[in-house]
This record gives sequence, structure tokens and C-alpha cells, in this order.
Amino acid sequence: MRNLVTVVVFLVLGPMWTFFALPWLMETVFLGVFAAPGLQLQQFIDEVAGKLFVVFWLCNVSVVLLWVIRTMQRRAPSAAKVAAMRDRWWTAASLLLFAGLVLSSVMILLRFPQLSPGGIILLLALLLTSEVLLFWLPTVFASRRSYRLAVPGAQLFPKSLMGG
Amino acid sequence: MKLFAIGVGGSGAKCLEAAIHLHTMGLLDREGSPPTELGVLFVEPDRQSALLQRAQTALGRTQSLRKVLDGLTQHFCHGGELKDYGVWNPVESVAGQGSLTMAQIYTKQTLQHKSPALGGLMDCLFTQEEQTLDLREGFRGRPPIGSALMSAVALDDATHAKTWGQFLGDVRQAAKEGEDVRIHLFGSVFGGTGASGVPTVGCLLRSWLQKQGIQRAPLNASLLLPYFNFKDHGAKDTGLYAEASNFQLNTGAALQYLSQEGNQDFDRVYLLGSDAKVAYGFSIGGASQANGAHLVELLAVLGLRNSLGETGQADAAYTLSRHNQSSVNWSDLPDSALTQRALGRGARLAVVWRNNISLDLEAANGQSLKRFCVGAPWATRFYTSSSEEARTLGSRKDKDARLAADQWSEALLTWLKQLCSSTGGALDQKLLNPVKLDVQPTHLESLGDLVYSNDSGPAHKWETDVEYLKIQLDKRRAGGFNSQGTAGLLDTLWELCDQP
Repeated sequence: MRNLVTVVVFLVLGPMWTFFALPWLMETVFLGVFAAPGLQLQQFIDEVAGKLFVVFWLCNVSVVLLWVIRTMQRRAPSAAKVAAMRDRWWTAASLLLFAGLVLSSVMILLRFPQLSPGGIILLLALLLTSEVLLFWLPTVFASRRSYRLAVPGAQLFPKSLMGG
Repeated sequence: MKLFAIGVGGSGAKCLEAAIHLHTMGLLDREGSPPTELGVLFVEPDRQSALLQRAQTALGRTQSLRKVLDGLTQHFCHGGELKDYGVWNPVESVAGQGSLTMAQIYTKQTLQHKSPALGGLMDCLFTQEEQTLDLREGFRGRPPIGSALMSAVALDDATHAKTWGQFLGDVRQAAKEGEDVRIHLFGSVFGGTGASGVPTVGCLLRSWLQKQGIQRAPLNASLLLPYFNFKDHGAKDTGLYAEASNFQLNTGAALQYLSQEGNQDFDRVYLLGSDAKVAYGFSIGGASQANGAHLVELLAVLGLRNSLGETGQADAAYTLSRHNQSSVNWSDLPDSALTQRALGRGARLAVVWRNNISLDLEAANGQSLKRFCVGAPWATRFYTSSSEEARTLGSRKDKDARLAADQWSEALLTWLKQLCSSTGGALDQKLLNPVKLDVQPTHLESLGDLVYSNDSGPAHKWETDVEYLKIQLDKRRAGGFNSQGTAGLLDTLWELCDQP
């Protein structure tokens, strides 16, 4: 029950990051980094924050829900079977990141080739941050108790915060 | 409390096997008192007896487990020493390692020469076959042979120093220190060794207690009446052997003797039997006599448990029988709720340990603790990642404890499985599910259906999952007693397996 509440919480927090915090950061804090000759900044922010990161958020939500359903449905009789889920977690995380990179590359190459190297690095950093917030944290806190250490880095948090 | 249990013959050994398991499960403890100390002594002329060896295996494995857990647990195997007084072989105590026959014991040749009348009397009482039977193979269902041999023995003789000497010394010492002492004999009265040994040893012990002036040491007995038959019988060249057709005759004679003489020897007597007889394979004894454990033996030990309570009304007789002709369930056992709770707890621990947790630990051998904990978060609660242990999961002591717990679990599961499989006849057993008591090479997922219940079962099916137990292990907070390692894991599991 507790992990379901956690999923709901992250389902609410995810859009807040994607639709409010991220565009605000791009428009204020990182505006100077993205600025490049010939680049329509407002159009860039609208397209990146409004399309690229929304698609990325949807991908993350889908994979998180799949992960939670999988760990909820699957009995965990042996330690080896639970440990094997870590490999699956890495696979899911890598695929998500790869999808983010592909989407970003396509968008940069086709729409905003003027983007500076600093801007590209910052965009990738924001992508990574999104994955941390939208995939890693939810899987840390919303995995069923038996799988609480299957997510890398979960041991950094007190076990009392982990799922039921 | 100090409890001294004596198992006479094959059935007596099986009862001691049951007593050892029930002692581990805490069923021989009295509420509000320190754990009961149990000392066991086997009386068996047949060194090769498979039943004796099985009981000794259970004893050895339980002692090994207690040794590795000593001082490291707060609940499981905590206190209540289990002492082994060994095997007293009445034949070897008279004849040493050589062969011995009735004719040799009573020096028949000399007897015939000096007093032909006495020699003739011996021929009347014992057949030629009985007189020349090698007694190292047991008494072959002939109580008079055993009685004649054992009644000639002085228990406190120096030749029995390792067995009776220590046993009687401890009884004397405990009585002297004002401890609550109980002596309990187990044996069948329809075979050879038990039928001759229980009354004889009882009589010898009563004489010894009186001689020592020990008044407050009740001497009780659980006597097993016929509860099994043999599928076949011996061939012509088998020689002397126990015959099922003689069981009733032997029983009648033994009960007649006890009603006349046993009243003076025993404070309480528990008579256990079964109308639904289980059919064991025919055997003259030795290694081939591998009769499985039986519910009657459990009842015999529950008699011992009953005798630990307050002394009942003198000269009173209580009877107990099952409620349903065609089945036996928990409500048929004395102290049914408590017995169900303890046996269910032991079964759960043995099953979850042997068929799941131990398999996890075995698979983790060679892995680092960090890696193992990815799949077993509960391990972080019991194993620390310090020094060499981080590489090998647990210390040498932890590994020894795991092996000891494995062996103990296997012994317990074998006993429970036999107990629940050999009820005999068309009697349906509704205590534990025998299928769930098998040792499995793969991980067991659920403990559901392990313990048959009179109720509708646990509130949530999920709670019978092994995973649920593991989550509880992970959630469990260390109390005042910091139980670590395999010992701590076993101790915590023992607590979690208790489902009142």
C-alpha cells in the first residue's frame, strides 16, 4: 500500500518538475548558457520543455509503472531472483537514457543545429537530472520491500522510507 | 527442572527422539519457569538398531545446533541443556563384546550338574532356541529373556559408570540441590526389550531412589501398547523373531505384572496405543528395522509433558481418545492449542530454513555481502560487512551454525514427515501436510497448508508467504539483545514462526 502511495506522489511531482520547474530553470537560470547566434531561444525552450521533456516524462512514467507492477506481482522466494532484477533495472535505465539521447539528437540536428556545445552539455545534464527524478527516485521508494536494494544506490536512504 | 528420560528398546528410542524434538520446541518447559534440562539414556541390547541410531542422530544434531548457538540466542535453543548419557547395553554390560546366551548367563551346564532340578526348570521356562539365542541382537520379542538378564544387574555398579553412573550421579546431585527432578521411562510393553526393560529398570530405579533416600523424584512411565503390525513374517530359517501375533499376549502379561507390581514402582503411568495399526516391514531388528516415527510416540512424550504439571489426584485415572473415528487432528492431542502452536512453529522454522533461507545462504557462498544483500535485504540486519566476512558472508562460526541448522532441520522434517505419514489403517491425519515437509532443492514460496488448522486459516494468504517472513526479518528492529549472524537470524525466524 505504501509503495502505491509513493507512486501517486511521484506521479504528481513528475509533472510539476516537467511542466513548471524545468521551463522556469531554462528561462531564468540557464538562459545564458543556451544562448547562441541564430538560435530562437523562446522557440527552443518551448520545443525542448514542451515536447522533448514531456515525451521523456511519459517514457519514465511508463517504465516506472511497469517496474512497480512487475515487482508487486512477482513473488520473491529467492535472493538470486531478486538480485536478477537489478540487471533489469539497469537495462530499463539505459534504454530510457538512450531514448532521451536519441530524441535530443534528432531535435538538435533537425531543429536547432546552432546550439552551442555548452548548451548541448547542459541539455544532456537536464535529461540526466530528469531521469534521476522521474525514474531512479520513484523506483527507490516505490519498489516492494523485497526489492528495496535491487535499485542501485537505494542503500543511501533509511530503510524505514522504503516501500511496503 | 531436571528431566531424566530413559528409552528402553526400539520404541523407547523413538520416544526419546520425539522428546528431543519437543524439548527443542519448548514443549517440555513449564510456563514461568526456567527452561527444562533434559537428560536422555538409551537402554538397548541391539547396537545395530536403526531406531536407536536415528534417535542418536537427532540427539547429536540437536546438541551440535545448541553448541553453535550457545549464548548467541535469546529464544531459540536458549537454556535448557540437553544431556546425553549414552547407550546402556544390558548384554554388553554382562558379557562385554563377546557373545552371550541365556545358557551362559545361568551357567546351565554347571546348573544341570549341581542341581538337575533347576536345570530342568530352566528347560521348562525357556526353549532350547531361546537359551542359545545370541542376545547381542536383542531379545526378539521375548520379554522373559530380557527380564532375566536385566534383573541380575545392579545399576550403580562400577561397570556402568559411563551410563548409569553419570545418570544416577546427576539425579542424586540435582535432588540434593533441591531441584525439581523427574524420571520418565519410555518403552513398548508388547515387544521384547521394552516389555522386559521398563518394569525391570523401573523396579531397579525405585529401589535405588529408596536406598538413596530421595523422596521427591517422581518416577513415571509412558508405556506403548500395540500400535503397529508387521507386513510379513520371518522365514523358517530366520530363527527367533518378534511375532505380531504375540503382541496382545505380551501386552496382557506386562499389564498384569504392572497392575500387581508396578503400582509400587511408578508414580504415574501413561498407556498409549492405537486401534489403527500401521504396518511396518518385517525385521528381526538391527539396521533393517527402520520403522517410521508414529503419533503414539508423540503422545507418549506429551504424557511426559503432562507429568511436569502439578501432581493430580492420587489413584485417579484419566482417559484420552480421538474425537473422530476416521481422523486425528490437533484437538485430539493433549493441550491441543499449545501443542499445535509449538509443533507448527518448529515445522515452519525447519521448512523455511531448510527449503529457503539456507538455500539463499548457500548460493551466496563466495559472494560479497554487498552483492548478496541486493537480493536479500534482510541479510543487512544480521551480517556486517567487516574484514574478511565481507567477502565470504559470515564468519566460520556462522557457516558452522548454518550447517548445524541444516542438519537439525532435516532431522526434524524427517521425523515430522514420518509422524504425519504413518498413522496406520484408514486413519486420516490432519496435523501437518506431509508433502510440505519434504527437503527440497528449490526455494519454497509459501508456508500455506503446512499446518492444518481447525480454523479458517490465517487472515491474509499473503502472510503465509516466505517473502512475507523475509520482509518481517528486514523490518525487525534489534531489541536489547543484539542477535547477529546466523544465530541471530535463526533466533529471529523462530520468533516470527510463532503464530498463536
